Amino acid sequence: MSVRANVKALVVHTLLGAAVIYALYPVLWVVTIAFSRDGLGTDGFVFPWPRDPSFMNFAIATGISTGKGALFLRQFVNSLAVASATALMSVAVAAPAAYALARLPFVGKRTGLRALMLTQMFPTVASAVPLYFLLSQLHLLDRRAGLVIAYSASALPFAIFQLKAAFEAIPVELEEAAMVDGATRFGALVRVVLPAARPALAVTALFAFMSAWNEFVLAATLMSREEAFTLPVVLQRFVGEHAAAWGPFAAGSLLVSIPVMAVFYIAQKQLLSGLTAGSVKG
Amino acid sequence: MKAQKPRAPWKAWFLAFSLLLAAVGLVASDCKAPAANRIVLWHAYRGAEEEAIAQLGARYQAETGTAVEVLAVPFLAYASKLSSAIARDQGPDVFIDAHERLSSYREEGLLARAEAAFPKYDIDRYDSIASTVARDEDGAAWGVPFALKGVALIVNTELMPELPASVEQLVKARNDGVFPLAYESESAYVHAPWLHAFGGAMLGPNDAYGFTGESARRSVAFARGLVSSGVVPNGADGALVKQLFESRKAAAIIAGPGVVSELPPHFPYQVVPLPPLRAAPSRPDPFLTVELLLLTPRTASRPEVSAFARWLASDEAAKLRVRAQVVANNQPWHDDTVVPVAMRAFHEAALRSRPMSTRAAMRATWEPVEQAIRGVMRAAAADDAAIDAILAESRRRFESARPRAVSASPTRGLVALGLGLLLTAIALYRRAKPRFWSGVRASAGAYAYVVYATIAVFVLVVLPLVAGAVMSFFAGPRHQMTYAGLGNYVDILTARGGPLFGYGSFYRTLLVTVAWTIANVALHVTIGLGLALLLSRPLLRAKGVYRTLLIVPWAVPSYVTALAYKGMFHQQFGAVNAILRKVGAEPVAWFSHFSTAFAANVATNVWLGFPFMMVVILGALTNVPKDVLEAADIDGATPWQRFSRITFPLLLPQLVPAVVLGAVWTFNMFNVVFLVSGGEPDNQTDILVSEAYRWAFTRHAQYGYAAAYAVLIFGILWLTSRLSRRWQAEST
Amino acid sequence: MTPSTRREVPCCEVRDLSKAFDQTTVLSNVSLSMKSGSFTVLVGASGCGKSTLLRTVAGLEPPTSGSIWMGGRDVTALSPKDRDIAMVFQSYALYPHLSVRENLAFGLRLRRTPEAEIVARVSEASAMLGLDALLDRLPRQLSGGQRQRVAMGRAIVRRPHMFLFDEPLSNLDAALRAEVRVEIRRLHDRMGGTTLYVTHDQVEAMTLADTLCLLRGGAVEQMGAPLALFDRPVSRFVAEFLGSPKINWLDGQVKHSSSGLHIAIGGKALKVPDRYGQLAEQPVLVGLRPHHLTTASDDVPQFATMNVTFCEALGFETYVHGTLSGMGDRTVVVRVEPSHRVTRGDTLPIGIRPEHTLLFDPRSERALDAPT
Repeated sequence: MSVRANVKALVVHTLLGAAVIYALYPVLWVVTIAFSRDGLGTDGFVFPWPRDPSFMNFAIATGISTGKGALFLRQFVNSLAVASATALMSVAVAAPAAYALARLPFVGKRTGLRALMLTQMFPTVASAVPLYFLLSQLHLLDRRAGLVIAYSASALPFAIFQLKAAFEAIPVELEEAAMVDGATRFGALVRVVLPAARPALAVTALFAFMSAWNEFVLAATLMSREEAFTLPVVLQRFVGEHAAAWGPFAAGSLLVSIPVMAVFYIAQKQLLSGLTAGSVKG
Repeated sequence: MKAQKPRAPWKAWFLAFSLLLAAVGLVASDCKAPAANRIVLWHAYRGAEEEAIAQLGARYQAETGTAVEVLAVPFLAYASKLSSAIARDQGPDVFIDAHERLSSYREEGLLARAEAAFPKYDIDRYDSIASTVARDEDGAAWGVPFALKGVALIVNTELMPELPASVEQLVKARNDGVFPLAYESESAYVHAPWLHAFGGAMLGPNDAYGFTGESARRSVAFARGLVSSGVVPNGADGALVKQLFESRKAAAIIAGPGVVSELPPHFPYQVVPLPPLRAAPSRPDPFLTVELLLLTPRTASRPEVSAFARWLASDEAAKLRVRAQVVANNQPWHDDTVVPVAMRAFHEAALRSRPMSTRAAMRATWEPVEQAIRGVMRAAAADDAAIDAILAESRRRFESARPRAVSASPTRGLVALGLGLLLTAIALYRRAKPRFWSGVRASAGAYAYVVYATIAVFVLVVLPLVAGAVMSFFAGPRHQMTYAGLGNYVDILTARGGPLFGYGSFYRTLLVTVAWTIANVALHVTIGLGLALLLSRPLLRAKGVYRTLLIVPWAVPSYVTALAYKGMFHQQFGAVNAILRKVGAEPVAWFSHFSTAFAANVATNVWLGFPFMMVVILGALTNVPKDVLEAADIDGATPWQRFSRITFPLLLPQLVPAVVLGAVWTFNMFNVVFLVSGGEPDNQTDILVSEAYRWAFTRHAQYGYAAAYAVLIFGILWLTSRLSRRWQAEST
Repeated sequence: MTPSTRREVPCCEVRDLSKAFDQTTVLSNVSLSMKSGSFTVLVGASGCGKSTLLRTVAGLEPPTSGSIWMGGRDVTALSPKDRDIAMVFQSYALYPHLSVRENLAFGLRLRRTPEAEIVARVSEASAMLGLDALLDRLPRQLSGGQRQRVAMGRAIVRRPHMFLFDEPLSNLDAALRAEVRVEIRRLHDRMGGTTLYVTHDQVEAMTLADTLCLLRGGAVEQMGAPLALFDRPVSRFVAEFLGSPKINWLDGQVKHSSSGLHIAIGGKALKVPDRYGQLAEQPVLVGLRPHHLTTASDDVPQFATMNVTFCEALGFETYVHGTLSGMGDRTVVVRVEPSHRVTRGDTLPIGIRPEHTLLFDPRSERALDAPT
């Protein structure tokens, strides 16, 4: 019996280990490139390991080597601010909408849901120019607020889908209890439904955060001052017309991904916990 | 029972919330207001050149008191950012760009005359070619000559102590494990010297496609010979060329000054112009690009901007720049004390180079030429007939990508639009039930919840999409669009007159796209589901570690990992083939065949996408009640039955939306295709969206075409979703 | 009820309430009046509309027509929060993110009750329900019974005008259910509020209610004191719904004879209770509760012979199942003293206490003494 259990555990760990290797192998190449003095990695080797280890590329990527460290810090703060605000804003706008779609009957609900899905089907290839025009009309160019608004809007449809599903999974009685206890419907949403949907809110916020954190094209187009750049724009500076500066590019990418990894690691319990488990039935 | 200590769930949330508030505060407090009368300069330089420009800007500001703001823009965004910003009067006062864009910028109305910055009497101050390209046929100045860009031969003087007198001599100098020569063998820009040597030109008179006929055939046959005989590494990109040179695996390379400036100190090298090619009638002259300082329309009334531009190009400033770039100013080259030796060699090479055509059609030659080069490199046999067939195909592509003089009378379109609106209104009116308005009134409370999301999505998502869709009725490059009615659609749906299932035709690309979507989504779901099931085992150790490691692909920015994948699939130097060699298998030329290139794309995209599915399913699994599973256990269900009869059906409601969204996203996932295979071979792995992006950005910037593709993609997805909904409704 | 008596304003009144979802009618013309301090139980089979009625009273569902009055005020259009009610849900609906203490305090906080008052009321309720040790736990850390008590505590601290219970005991085991049942009634008496309670369990209904309201198909079948419904059901449905084991049925015929009115069942004659007055000769459905049948003895003469098929010995009494020979093949259940040792296959002499006999019209299934 216990031998069988051990074999089973071994199989599980082997499978997971294989998946981890698959997940990490390309990233290890990026790490190798980042830590190689010459910024090179893939040279016919099987195992990623920097041939000539150095922190040079990190110094270049962060601008420390050129005395622009403070600027990089500022750009890091930009990214953090824009991505966090996007997360907050898209969740804040999506939550009531998703709640109405999940719970309240209204004319145009089905049409609205379908239209929301349709926005995901249209490639954005031709919409960048009109969006630029629009944001410049709104005097939102060169402002982090402009980025936040554009990002939040584009993150909205997915956020609404996510939260709608989450709200539908929450027992209606919770809101009813709150309303009997003296809350308005909106009060019940804020005080009971949202806290009960915390894992879903966290996931949704994380999605919005990541999409804003990694976005490059819009940021590069809308922002025209170095102090306003976000990190992906800074990173993209290492890619030229004919060749890329691989070392700093890889180093910078790693730095950029660290906060996301940290956020996920911290939030993973929230992300996956079944918070509603104890509230209904015995 | 031990009483559990209560948690303080609000502490963490308070922290998170205050962080977010701080973020919002930061967003609200935007950057300090810029100086009112400042001069804004944009460029896309990197490294030493970027530093030189920044220093010059600072110096000018210090000396004259005029505020100067220098912005280094990522190259990828440079062109589109310029045209968007200048058109909205939000752009720079001065910017630096290559002369071959001059004419299209002028046509777009993005430039002001530069007479004050580049007066007639300054002509001799600059290189004569540079002076010429900065002026139009009437002699009016539209830019200030700034720098020259071209390639030269960089030789490792240890590996090749004797400078080669000819290309033939160069390629004979073979050492063990060292390539005599390395260059971007599949780049049209670096291939150009061979074409020029054999008497050809990329673009003939009247915008005719030049990569055809005898000269083109001989040039590609020659290049193929270099690669197939192992003289030149196969399919190297710029980074790899640089890497081979630095790691002394290439004795000589063809490259620009950028490589030199990044070489380690004391590296033994020398720069010389490309030596003659004895087998060819002419000299292998590379392309010359002249970088110009360009002034934008709003500078017309600002003499200080012209003064600044003139100063940047002046002798004084050029002396400072010459360490970093081949300046177009003649003066520094007379003074040996300020010019680095290598730069002088690049200057010499530049003087022998051939300026690139300023025609807009020039940029449209790159894609077909490079396809032809790759085609020949990969062809099993390369006799004249085979090469000619490939060249003819590339010519056909160039010509079919050319903007057509389609114009239609807008009257019919307007009538159709009016009729459409009318019919829609009637249909809506008739469909509206008698209770419609009372229903709307009753819904007022619910509308309060959705109003912000509706406005945001409508204004910032729907409106731009609709505006983009409207563009699909127009043809031509962005600045001179003409109404074309349904012309773009007709063109696309008839494969522009080519075979309906030919390479790059709409229908073939659609098939590839469908295969791409199915392959990706199936693998995403399978892998994501498998891992989620493993991770949800209650007794699993190190669960958190696994979970975190497995989402790494999702956390690292995809642009860098996609490029890492491209490197891993490189035929000669990639890790995948290295592994294959280790296990004794034949290495694969991944991007030479449709199946392998497609597989490489799928491998990358699956890698990028499985963590998302895994997280979604892990979340959904927490909603599967344990007691039901236990009941199944007691009923004697095998693990498989437990999964297939209980877990899976319970997951489905949450899985289906994720799969639908995932499918839609994958259908439109252009950047993996763009970055990994780049559509290779011969656009065969392109999907519909990447095709659309090509029309928008490489083929004469034909946004109308791209928009028509976008509308067609939308139509296909919409139709599919409708059909599947109907099918679902019927099956239940 | 005569017009001359001083009319007290009922605590809650439901007037002509109807409710339909799309095309399905769930409630039709329900009227109900609850006196202040009364304990009204809505009972009925599942799907009879009792929960919908409760939810409509709570304001969670808008009625299709009709009105609801509380304290002399029309509250039909008011939202639940403005009705001054508290509700205990079947699923308890405890807020998963709040501790027990905060769950209890939630409603008070919403009403901006002073902190000191909140503390006082919470500790009072918690003492009353024995929740003191659990105050800092989260709902998921509680057992089913504990959750149920928290749900009640949440209602109690509010001191509302009216308590609503929606099958609050259905998720508890039998022993606990009996215990909590008593506790609910005790709390009601102590708090002095008006209670509307929904259940499908007739034992709960009988034991808790001052007024029992039996719903059938969205309409009130019968309403009154529990024993009145038990002893004088207006219809076969009511008679069958209340009482465990269920009432026994026999087919009979009203006959006039020289000695007066009697019911002929399988050749035997059963006396018609006096309250039925004069009846026409007609077929009737005879309802006899198990405890009104007994073993024949000196007091109760034998009426029939029972062929025993099954026997349930509960210790303090025994229920014997079987058929009465010569009186159709309907199964009849008889309560006998536990001292009787009866087994399958035995025959048992059965006597009837005729004064409890219930008579129904076999076609309309209405009681023959019901007001028309």
